[in-house]
Amino acid sequence: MKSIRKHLILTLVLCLSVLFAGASLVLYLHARNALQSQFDEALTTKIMSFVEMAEAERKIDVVVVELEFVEFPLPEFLPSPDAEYYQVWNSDGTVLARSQSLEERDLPQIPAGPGVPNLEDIELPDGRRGRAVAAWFEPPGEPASGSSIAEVQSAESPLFMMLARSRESLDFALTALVAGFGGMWGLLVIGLIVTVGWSVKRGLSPLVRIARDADSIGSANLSHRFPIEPLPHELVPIGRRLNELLGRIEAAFLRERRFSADVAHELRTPLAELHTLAEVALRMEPDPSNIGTYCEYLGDVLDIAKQMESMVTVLLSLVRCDADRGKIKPEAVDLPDLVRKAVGPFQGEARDRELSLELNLPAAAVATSDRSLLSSILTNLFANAVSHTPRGGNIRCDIAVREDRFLLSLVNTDDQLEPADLEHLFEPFWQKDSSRSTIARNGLGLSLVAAYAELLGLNLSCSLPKKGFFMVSLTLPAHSK
Amino acid sequence: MRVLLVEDSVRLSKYIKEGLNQVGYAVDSALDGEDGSWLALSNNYDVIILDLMLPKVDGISLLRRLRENKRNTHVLILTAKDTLSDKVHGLRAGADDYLVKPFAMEELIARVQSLVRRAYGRKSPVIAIGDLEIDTSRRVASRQGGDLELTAREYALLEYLAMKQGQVVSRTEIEQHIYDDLADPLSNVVDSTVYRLRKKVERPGGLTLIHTRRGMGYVLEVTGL
Repeated sequence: MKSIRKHLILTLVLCLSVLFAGASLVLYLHARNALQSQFDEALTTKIMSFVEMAEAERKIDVVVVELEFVEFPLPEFLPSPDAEYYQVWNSDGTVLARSQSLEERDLPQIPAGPGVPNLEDIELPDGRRGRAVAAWFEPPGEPASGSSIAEVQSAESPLFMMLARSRESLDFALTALVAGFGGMWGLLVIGLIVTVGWSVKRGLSPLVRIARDADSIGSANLSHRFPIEPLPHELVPIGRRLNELLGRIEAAFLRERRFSADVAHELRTPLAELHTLAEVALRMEPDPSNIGTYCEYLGDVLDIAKQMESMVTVLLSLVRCDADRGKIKPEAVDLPDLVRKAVGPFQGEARDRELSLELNLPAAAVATSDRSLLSSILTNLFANAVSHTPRGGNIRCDIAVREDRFLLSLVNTDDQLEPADLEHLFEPFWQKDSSRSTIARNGLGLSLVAAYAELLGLNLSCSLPKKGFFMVSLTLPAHSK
Repeated sequence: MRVLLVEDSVRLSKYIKEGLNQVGYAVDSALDGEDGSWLALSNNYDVIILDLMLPKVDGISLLRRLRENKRNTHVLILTAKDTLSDKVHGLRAGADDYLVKPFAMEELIARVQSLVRRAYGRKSPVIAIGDLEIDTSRRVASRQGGDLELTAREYALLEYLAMKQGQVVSRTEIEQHIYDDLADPLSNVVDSTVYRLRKKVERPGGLTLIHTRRGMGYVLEVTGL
């Protein structure tokens, strides 16, 4: 499983370590160059001062070169473990002079251009790593009497000189530099792990608090909301979305709980009827004169069973609404024809109750919808209208054409409903009367209509267009060929 | 004893009425709160069985109306509402008992009996008058150790007279408490029931328990001791 904390710590430590390592490398190279330049400059300065100290003197045909540093040897050129070396050659390779530290040995020659000293690493005669500078030079001056140090064949011939010293001090400084940078890098990595870890932990603490909060939320405290104020700016949208989600879950949970309670409540009355009926029947004398009562009770049992069956069927339809979402088959539906078929079963009851049933349907109105669900919607709407219209009242169904859609409206006489009731009409089990005694009215018809309309994406609304009348409207899309 | 049943379920009302009749209670019934309210205020019932979700006037409003009119009739709420808040609400509105549907008829009868006892200020289900003993919980009466073979109506009359032991009970009062609203007030049904009851209760040579007070009514008591 991915961990943001581990990922952040690893990434930050790695990136910062690499950055610091790069910076250290640049610094080291710069320091090394500076130290080596300083070392080389000292070596060059020394050879140049030696060269300047050389003088030439002509004696008849021989040029005598005076090398003061030979005559007065400096202590660093005396044999010792950290001795330095020099050696002077004639242009024909003849050794003119060498430091006492060389004893009889030679320095390994390195090339040098005329007038330009050349520096190179060499292995010193005592095996140490060294650095040498080599230069060609011509000793200045006229022939004079004095000490003769070396003879050259031609006064014009330049001399070749090399000066070498151990680079141990330079290497030590460079090694110390490397060790310093390495040590610092190591400490920095450890420091980074600690500080970045702490910082990331602190930065992620609001998420941990949210997780802890979320963990404590259960069905008993769905009203809990994540506090937004203490959240960092970046987490505020997440907090808000989570709170909105909680709100939706709470509403759904309450709806579900209310629905379950309603279902249980609705089943109590028929169950009580069955229970009491059975008890009363069992207490009756087993007398043939009671057969008529027994038959009457059995008829009641059948009615109760039908009522419960009808309620369970509608409840199952409501529950299955979501599952049926994928089974919708939109097709061309002849609306007037469907309305006539839906109203058919209610004609008898309407006649018995002296209801005026009027259909104002266009000759043709083809909509796109699922025929089966739409038929169920219309059946429930007519059942509701016929059931609630008082004796002698009116029911009228209109279909109006509105560009690319149809507006189906069903108006019936109703002197019971008030504006405040409209918002409850599509709630399961809601009835204007708190009584739940009527078999035909279980308060689920309009809930089913609302659920099916939502499933079909139809716009369903209800209103009281004028006093004493109730209207349900349904907007359907026209079928496009 | 006369009971008013206010229940909107036609079938349930029919069965409860039948069940209570079987044990000798006279039952008037109303299918909505408005009728129930009218009956409750017009008559003197021993117990009212009241549903809460009623058409026209809901049960709680009916109950409040009853108490506002200083009617102290014991009320048993019989409803499908089963939450604690519903029960507390109902009892605080003035109900004396609360029973949730579905229920056992035996329990309903026992609760009604309990309320009847409370209405007449009795704690024990057994009433003893001389050598006559009436067990209101088992709804049986016995005299000198032998059970009396009484019809439901006869038992109801005996129980009512026993509840009002020593008090003169008028015919009208008996009609109101023993018979439901279907009984013909002009008939001599009370006198004939008292006659039959006397024949079953009185013993030759034994104490006379049921006495007639001319122009006033009847009284159940032990006299001459």
